[in-house]
Amino acid sequence: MEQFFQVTISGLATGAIFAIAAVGFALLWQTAGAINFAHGEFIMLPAVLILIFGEREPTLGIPDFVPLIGGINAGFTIPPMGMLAAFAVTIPIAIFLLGYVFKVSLVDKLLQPGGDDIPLVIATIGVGLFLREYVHEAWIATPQGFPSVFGNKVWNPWGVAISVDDVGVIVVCTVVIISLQVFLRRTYLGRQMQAAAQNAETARVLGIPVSRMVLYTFAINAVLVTIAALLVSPSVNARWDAGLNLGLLAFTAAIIGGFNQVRGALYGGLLVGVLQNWSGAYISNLYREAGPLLLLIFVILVRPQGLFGRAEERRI
Amino acid sequence: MSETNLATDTDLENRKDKIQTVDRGSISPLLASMVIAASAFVVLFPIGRSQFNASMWGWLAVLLGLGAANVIVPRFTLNGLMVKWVSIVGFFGFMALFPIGRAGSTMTDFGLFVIFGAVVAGMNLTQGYAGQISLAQAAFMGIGAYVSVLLDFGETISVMGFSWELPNLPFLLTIPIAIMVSMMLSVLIGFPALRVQGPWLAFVTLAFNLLVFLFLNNEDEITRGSRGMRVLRDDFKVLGIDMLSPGRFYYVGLAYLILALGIVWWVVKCPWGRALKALRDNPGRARSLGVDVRAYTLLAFAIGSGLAGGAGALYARQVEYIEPRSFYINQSFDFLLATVIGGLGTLAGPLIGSSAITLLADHLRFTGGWYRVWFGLFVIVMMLIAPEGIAGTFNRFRAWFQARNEGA
Repeated sequence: MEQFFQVTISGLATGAIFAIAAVGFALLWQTAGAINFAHGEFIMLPAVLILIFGEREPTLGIPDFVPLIGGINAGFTIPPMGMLAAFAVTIPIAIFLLGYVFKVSLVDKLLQPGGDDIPLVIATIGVGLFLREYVHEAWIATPQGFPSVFGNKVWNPWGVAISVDDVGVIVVCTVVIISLQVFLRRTYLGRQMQAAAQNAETARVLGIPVSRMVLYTFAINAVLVTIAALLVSPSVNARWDAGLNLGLLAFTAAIIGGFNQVRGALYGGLLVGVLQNWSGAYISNLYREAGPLLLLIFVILVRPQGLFGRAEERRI
Repeated sequence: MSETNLATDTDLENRKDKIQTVDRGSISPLLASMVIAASAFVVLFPIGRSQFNASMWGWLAVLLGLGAANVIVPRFTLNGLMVKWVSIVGFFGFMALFPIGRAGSTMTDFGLFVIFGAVVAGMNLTQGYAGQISLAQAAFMGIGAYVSVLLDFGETISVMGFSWELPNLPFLLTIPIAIMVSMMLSVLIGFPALRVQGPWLAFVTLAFNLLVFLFLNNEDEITRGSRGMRVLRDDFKVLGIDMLSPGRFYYVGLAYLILALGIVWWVVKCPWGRALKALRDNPGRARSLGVDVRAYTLLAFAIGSGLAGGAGALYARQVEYIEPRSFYINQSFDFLLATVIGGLGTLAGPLIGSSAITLLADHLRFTGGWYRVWFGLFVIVMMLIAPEGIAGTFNRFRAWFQARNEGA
């Protein structure tokens, strides 16, 4: 029984992180109709950036892989700033790169209303490949340890070992999700964003700047993946290929829960995390990921709109 | 009076035609030449930095030969059929004569090129004609490889305590079995995924690829896990010549590639292939004409996966060692890359794409892994300016030349 609680709690912690990632994924789908196959790399990149800013001394300059003019070093380094400061620095970078640049240069160009979504899917797969290989070549080739912001103490109430990290992760994720919901439901801006997501045409008629609302969604997604990166990296390490598994599990969570609702993605994430831990503990540790993936195939077979979603009325 | 009317009518029609073609041609050559310039840069960049070796020449020949045949010949003859045969015969003649006097390592590269060409041709059928993305091409290749190797060498495997002695089948017989197993599995996973519209197949196949990898990696008793399996030399003789030596096995791969391209060509040309094309171009109309969208898409996906399975059987003999890592998700992404770079929905596309991920990649290895970064960037840029790929860009050039010829 102790083991069951232990496994479930740490599963909930992992699941809460997947939930955050899956909510970002679902938000992009709802507002822009964009399916992002580079979502895992969107988590991996902030993790690597946080690690570099937090513990390394990054140099500024043109690196030597740039043909012809490479190898110029501006000659000064940024001192390591600690994980939390690095996190604060990474958020605007993520909002710019993963939010603004991604939307303006790819999604806006490739996603015509009523058009085919395959080009964007392929382009995001290209983005994933690019980010993965770039991080591998330019920054880190081997997995690097990533310190937890909550420390690595373990509590032991009633014989159940609970790590402080898991509790911290659950608390932070709960706060993030609740504040996101409050923002979307209670504030003027959040309601405008919801309107833009539900019916872009009507929203435009009512004077809501739809395109800017979509941009805000991308920014929120960038913040969510940065938070997910900070929380998930202590257990998976900062590594260039972490995005493959993380992305797969994030959109497994989104699909299982239901693409078209934030609530669905939330429950889906928790379910994936717990299921992953259960199949790791009770079936075989080698098949940790197998549980969620089998559930994914099953869900698509019997209930394609997701366990907690409602049938799609808008697109498709 | 009536005659002049007629004349103006045809004139108008001509002009309308011209406007349309020139319209399509006048903007696109700029973008197309950017694509060509980018690929030329990638091709020419290695000069002086690494040995300008046989695989490089091979890649150049494939790319430029196909391109030139398709672009230049129509300037002199408007008969497209002749162009097609010139490029087909020229290409396969080159491929057949190429191995004479080459080193073994070059032949290994070329063997991989033709085998991956068949895989990409299968993917091209799923993606370019049926409009669904399959990200399990590497998994099907792995299934084919393991099925074929296990059946070929009479291994004893144990599943849940029972042990079976597998039969010792001849090599040629294991290829159709590998194809059948891959096709059956693809129907199993494609059936739920294609029930609904949307990119579900991409997600399901990605999940399936990871599941297959986990199975291959963890079922030690069957697949020997991450240690991999050495593929022993069987004897496979055609007309008394042992075809399994590194230099000669290339021809087996080439034969399979021609078979695969032939199957894809036949599928596209036969009636239900036309239904597939109709499906891609206008799903709503195809459905209203009574085309069973789901069945056709599923069939295209199954054939594409089957081709990958058969290619896996050959891959195992070509590299003589199989391990689960070779069939991981990133290999599937590579195949997707090749399909897109080459050009969706064309027959030359798979050849160009496959040469990019084998010959060109092998040649660019001196950059460390940087060539993969460029590939990623190349795919993004390509989706933005020339989503029809290199082969499609050649076709665009041809349309432009034709429009110019007619205009002159």
